[in-house]
Amino acid sequence: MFSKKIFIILLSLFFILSLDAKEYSPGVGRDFPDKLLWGDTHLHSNISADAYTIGNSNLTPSDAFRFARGEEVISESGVKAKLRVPLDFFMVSDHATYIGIFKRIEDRDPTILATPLGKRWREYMDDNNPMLFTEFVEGLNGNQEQTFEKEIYIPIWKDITDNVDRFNQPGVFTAFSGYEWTPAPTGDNLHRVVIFKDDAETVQKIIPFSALDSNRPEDLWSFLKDYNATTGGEAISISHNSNISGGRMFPLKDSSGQPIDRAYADMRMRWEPLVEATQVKGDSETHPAVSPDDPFADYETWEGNIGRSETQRMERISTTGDCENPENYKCYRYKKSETDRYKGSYVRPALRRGLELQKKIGANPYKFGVIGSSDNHTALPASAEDNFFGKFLDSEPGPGRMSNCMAGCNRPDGEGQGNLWRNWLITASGYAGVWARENTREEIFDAMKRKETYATTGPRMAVRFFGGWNFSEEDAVNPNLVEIGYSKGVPMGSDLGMREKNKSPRFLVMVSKDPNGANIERVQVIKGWVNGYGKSEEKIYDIAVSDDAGESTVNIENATYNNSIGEAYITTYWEDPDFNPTLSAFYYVRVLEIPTPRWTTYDSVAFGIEIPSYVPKTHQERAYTSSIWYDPQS
Amino acid sequence: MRKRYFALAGLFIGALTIFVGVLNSTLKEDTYTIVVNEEILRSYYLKNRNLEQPFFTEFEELSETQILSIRKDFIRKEVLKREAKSLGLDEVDTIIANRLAQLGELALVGADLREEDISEDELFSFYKKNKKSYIERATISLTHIFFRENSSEILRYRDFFNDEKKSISSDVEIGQIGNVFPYQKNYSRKNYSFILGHFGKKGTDQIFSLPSNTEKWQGPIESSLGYHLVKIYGHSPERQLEFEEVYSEVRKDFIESETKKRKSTELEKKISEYKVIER
Repeated sequence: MFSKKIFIILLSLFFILSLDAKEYSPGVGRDFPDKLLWGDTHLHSNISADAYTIGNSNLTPSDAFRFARGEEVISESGVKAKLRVPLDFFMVSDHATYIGIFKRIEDRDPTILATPLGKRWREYMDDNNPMLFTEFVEGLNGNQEQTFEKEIYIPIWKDITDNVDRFNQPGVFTAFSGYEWTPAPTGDNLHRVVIFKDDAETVQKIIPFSALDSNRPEDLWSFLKDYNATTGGEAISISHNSNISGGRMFPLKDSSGQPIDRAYADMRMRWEPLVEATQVKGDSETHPAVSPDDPFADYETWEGNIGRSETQRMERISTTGDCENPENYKCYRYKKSETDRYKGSYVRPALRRGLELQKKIGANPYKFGVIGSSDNHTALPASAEDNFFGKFLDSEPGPGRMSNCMAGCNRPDGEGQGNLWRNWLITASGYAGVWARENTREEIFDAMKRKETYATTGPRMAVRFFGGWNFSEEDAVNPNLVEIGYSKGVPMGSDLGMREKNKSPRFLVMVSKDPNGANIERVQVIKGWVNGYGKSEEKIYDIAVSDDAGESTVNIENATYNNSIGEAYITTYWEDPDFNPTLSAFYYVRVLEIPTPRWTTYDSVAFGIEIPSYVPKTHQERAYTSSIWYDPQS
Repeated sequence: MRKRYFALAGLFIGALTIFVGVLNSTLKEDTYTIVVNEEILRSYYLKNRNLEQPFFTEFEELSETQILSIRKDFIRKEVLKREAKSLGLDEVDTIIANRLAQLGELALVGADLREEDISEDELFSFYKKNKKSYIERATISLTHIFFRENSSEILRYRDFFNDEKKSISSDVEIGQIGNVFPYQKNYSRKNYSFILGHFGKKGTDQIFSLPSNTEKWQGPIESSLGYHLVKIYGHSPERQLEFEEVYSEVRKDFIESETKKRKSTELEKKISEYKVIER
C-alpha cells in the first residue's frame, strides 16, 4: 500500500518536472502557427450572372487571381488597378445559381438549348428580351421554377476549378475552389460561401449545390457532409451579410419552424464554423439597438434586408436634418415589434444567443469564428479606402458613384421596393486574417476550421489573442509572447480549459498597426455572458487606450491623416475583473484605428465632388477576432 | 386595260387594309388579353411564394380563396407590367439598356478559340510580346531582431553578435532579446511586396538596399513598427522565366487574350456598319 503511494507521488513529480523541463533542442514545442496570412474568400467575377448583368462582362476569375497576387489589372470601367500589398490566399466565389450558363447559351451549347429554360433564354437573347434579367434575379432568390439538369454544370465546374489549380502555388499564393450558395427568401439574405480544401480533381466529383436545389441551410450542410463522406474531401460554409438577413441568419428556429436542438447545433458548427463579419454590404459586428452601451456600435450599419423588401417591418426614425432625404437609409429602423430581428442579424448578439441556447439545449449553434471578405462583383478584391473599386460596375471609381445606386437606380425588378442601396452606403471592407503554419490550402483551411482567424474592415493590422489561467503581466512584454501564449493558454477560436482554482481568465493581446496604414487608438475586450436566468449580457472593456484617444488628424479637404497620434504597437495583459465561474462567457478583441478618411472623402478630393451632409467623412477602421469561450462545465 | 390595273391595285390595297386591320386587332387583342390557367397560376405561385412561412404549402393544397387571391395578384401585376412596357419604361431604364448592350456584345462572340487553332509560333510570339508578365521577382532571405524603441542597446547587441568570440562564449541568446514581432523572424526568398506587407515602405526599401555579401548583423533599420537588426542570407535577382518554363501558363493566357481580342474586333466591325449622325 505504502509503495503504491510512493509510486504515485514519484510519478506525479515526474510529470510536473517534465512540464517545466527546458528542452535541449530549441525546436521542440515550437510547432504553432507563426504566419499571418491575408486573404479574401468572397469575390465575384463575370461568371456570376448578377456581376455580369450589372456590368462586369470582361473581368474573369483569372483577372481576379492576377489582381489578388499583386498584378496590375484594368477594371471594367477602364481604370488601372493594383493592390499595394498582394494577398496571400484568395477564392473566387461565383454564384452557383446558373453558374457559367449565359456563356454556354451564347455559344449555342446544344445540351442547354435542348432544355425548355435554355431554349427560352436563347429566345430572350435573340429578342433582346429583358425577361432574361428578371428571370435570372428570380433564380438568385431561389424562386425560379425551372432549372437545368445538374449534368449541364459538369464541364462549367471543371473549367472553373481547373483554372483555380492553375493559380495555386503552395508556399507562395493559395487559390481555393469555391462558390456562393445564394438564397434570399422574401429578400432576407441567407447567403453562404462554400470553400473547398481540395484540388480540382476531388472538387470535380460534385456539382455546386445551389439555391435552386434548396434554400434551407440544413440541406447545404448535408451536402457538405455527403461531399466529405463520398470523396474524402473537405468543405465548409461561411455565412455572410447576416446584417441584412431580417434576423434569419442566427435564428431560434430551424428551416422547418422547429426550435433549434442539439442536432442542429452540432451540424451547424461542424459545417459552418465561420461568419464573414464585415464586407462591402455593411458591417455585421453589432447594432446600436442591441448594443446601446457601445459607443462604437454604429459602424457601417445597414437597415432592413438585402432586397430592401418587407418594408412594413421598418419605420423611419426622423424626417428632419440628415434624415430629410428618404434615401438616407440609415434613418430607418425595425419597428419595436420587429427588434428581435437585430438579434438574429449580428455577430455579437448571435454569440450571446449561442450561450443562451447552450444553457437551454446543452449545445451552442453559434460558437463561430469570424473573418472579413469583400463580396465585390468587379473581380477586384480592393478594400482600401483610397484604393476601392466598389461593389458593381456602378460603384467603380468615378465622379458619379456616390450618388448612384447599388445595381442601378430605378430597378425594373424592384416591384414595391424601388431602388436597392445608395452607393455612398457601401463599405470598403474587408479582409480575413488567418494564423497558419504555412501558406497552403491545407494549413489555411485547418486554421479556418479551428477558428484561428479574424476580420478587418480593410487595414492589415496584426492581432494575437490568447486566453488562459496562468498568464502574468511579464508575459505580455516577453519576446516569446507567442510561444508563451500557446504553451500556457489557447489562441482565438478556442475554449479555455478547465478552470484553475480561484483564478479568473487572463489574456495576452498583441496588436500592431497595418505596416502601410494608420496607428491604433484602442484595444478592447468584448465580453458576453449568460446570467443565472438564462439571459445574456455584454460588457466592453478598454484594455489599452492611446493617450490621445478621441483626437483626429484627418483633413477632410485634402483627404489626409497622419500617425502623430495613436500607437503603432501594443502588447498587453488583461484579467477579467468581473468573472463569475458559474456563468458561461465569450471574449473577443476589437481593435480600433485612429480616425481616417472614409472612401467617400477620398473620392470627393479625387473627383472634385461635394459629399452630402449625411455621408460619413471619417471613420475608425477596425478588427474583430474570433472569440475564446469559457464554459463552467468544462 | 388601265381599268383592270386600277381594279387590281384597289383589290390589293383593300386586302392590305383588311390584313393590317386584322393584324392590328390581333395585336391589340394580344396586348389586352391575359391568359390565365392552372399551369400559369402554379408557376406564378412558385415564383412568388412566401418562403418565410415555415411550412411550404403545395399549390394543389391551396384553398379556392387562396387561388383566387393569387389569380387577382397575377392579373394586377401583369397589367402593370404591360402598361409600363407600353409607356416604354423598359427602354428608359439604364439597367435594361446596359443589359441589352451586354447581350448584344455576347451575341457577337463566336465559339471559343479551339486548341487546334493555336500554333506554336503564335504562342511564342505572344510570350515575347508579354515577356514582362513572366518574370520571377527579386527575392531576399533574412532573419531579424525587432526592437520597439530605438536605443544605443541595439548597436551594442549588433556589435556583440558580430563578434564571434564574445557571442559564442556568452549566455545571451538572440531569441531572448528585443520585442515580439507580430510577423516572422525568418524570411526565405520573399519578394518586395511580401516584405512590404510586414515592414512598410521605408523598412522594405532599406532592407532591399542592404549589402548581401556579408554574414554580419546590419542596421538598425527603421520599419513602420519599430527598429530591426537584420542579417541578410541572400538576394536573388529578378529573373526572366523561359518560354518552356511557363508554356502552359502562356497557352492559357493566350486563349484568354485572344477571346477578348476577337470580341473587340467583332464589335468594331459591327460599329463600322452603323451610320452615326450628329443631330
